[in-house]
Amino acid sequence: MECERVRKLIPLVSGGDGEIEETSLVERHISVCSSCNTLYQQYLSDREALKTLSSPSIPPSVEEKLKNLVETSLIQQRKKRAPLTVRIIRKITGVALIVVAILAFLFYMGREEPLQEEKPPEGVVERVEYKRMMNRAVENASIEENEKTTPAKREKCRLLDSADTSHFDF
Amino acid sequence: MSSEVVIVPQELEKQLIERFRSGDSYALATLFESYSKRLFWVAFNILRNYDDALDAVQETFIRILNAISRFDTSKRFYTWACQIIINLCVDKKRRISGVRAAVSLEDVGLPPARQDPSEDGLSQNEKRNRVFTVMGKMPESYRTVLILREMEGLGCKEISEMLATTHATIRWRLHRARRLFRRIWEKEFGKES
Repeated sequence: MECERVRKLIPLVSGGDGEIEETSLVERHISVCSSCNTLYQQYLSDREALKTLSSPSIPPSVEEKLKNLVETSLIQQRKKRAPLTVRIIRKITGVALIVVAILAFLFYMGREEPLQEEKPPEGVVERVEYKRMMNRAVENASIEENEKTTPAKREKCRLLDSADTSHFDF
Repeated sequence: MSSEVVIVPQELEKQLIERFRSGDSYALATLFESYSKRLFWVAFNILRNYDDALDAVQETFIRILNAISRFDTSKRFYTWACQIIINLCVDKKRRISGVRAAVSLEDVGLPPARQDPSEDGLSQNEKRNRVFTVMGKMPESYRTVLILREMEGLGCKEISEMLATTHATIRWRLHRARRLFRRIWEKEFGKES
């Protein structure tokens, strides 16, 4: 029963990743159980085998490529990165532009709107003009009988009589 | 060919990063040169292709250069770089999955390992080839945790942070990965080897 439990713990404990109680249980058990001890030793040898890949062994051609790669990465970054003074100037310019934009906005919002004379719509103008013309026409028409009628007024009456008034709605 | 693993002290890392931030464009060259081989090796073991691994390293450098202003210098630079390259490799692997067949170390032309005497009679070189073969037959998620734990020597906590998952998940994956590694090894090379 304990063998089964210990065998489940061996992969972690052999790699030094077991809890304290797990480690002590496994160590106690493998000191008396040869089959579990064999398994434990196999896992230890696996770790040793894995360590053979731990130190990088890279061919000289790849090492050369890696060196070039470091240089190219830094050169690319240097090209992309402007000098410190330029970066400071850029930041100051950016902040100044934002301040100017805010001030302009505040100025625009704060100014008073000039009073504008309201103009009546076009149709209303025509009606007002027409009414005035009709009043004068009636006045002039009645002037015909008056002794004080001037020649200018007579002429206006004559023009009104001769005008085409068919499109007017009286 | 050199196989030494270079570790840059954290204080020096901080200084170099600060110098880069204040305008010295080549300050990171030391860090890149120190870690490029390790990063390449991690990428190569996941992608199992030279060109893809080189692409992943370059992409990692570019991402580092673009994000270095946001990097928290209280953390280790290599862990961060490793996190970037692992994520890139996982994405790349998904994209090219099934396009390229798994290769052996001889196929890719890697130089032989040191010929140390071995207790089980296998040369280091032979052992390394076998490990490479077995790893190639494992699912990517198990292979990644084994690479980070056994080859990079990272702890479960670091791996869980790197892969944005829980500590328990990493423990479970490691457990499964080691069992699977043993099973494939026995199937390929027999129980005694």
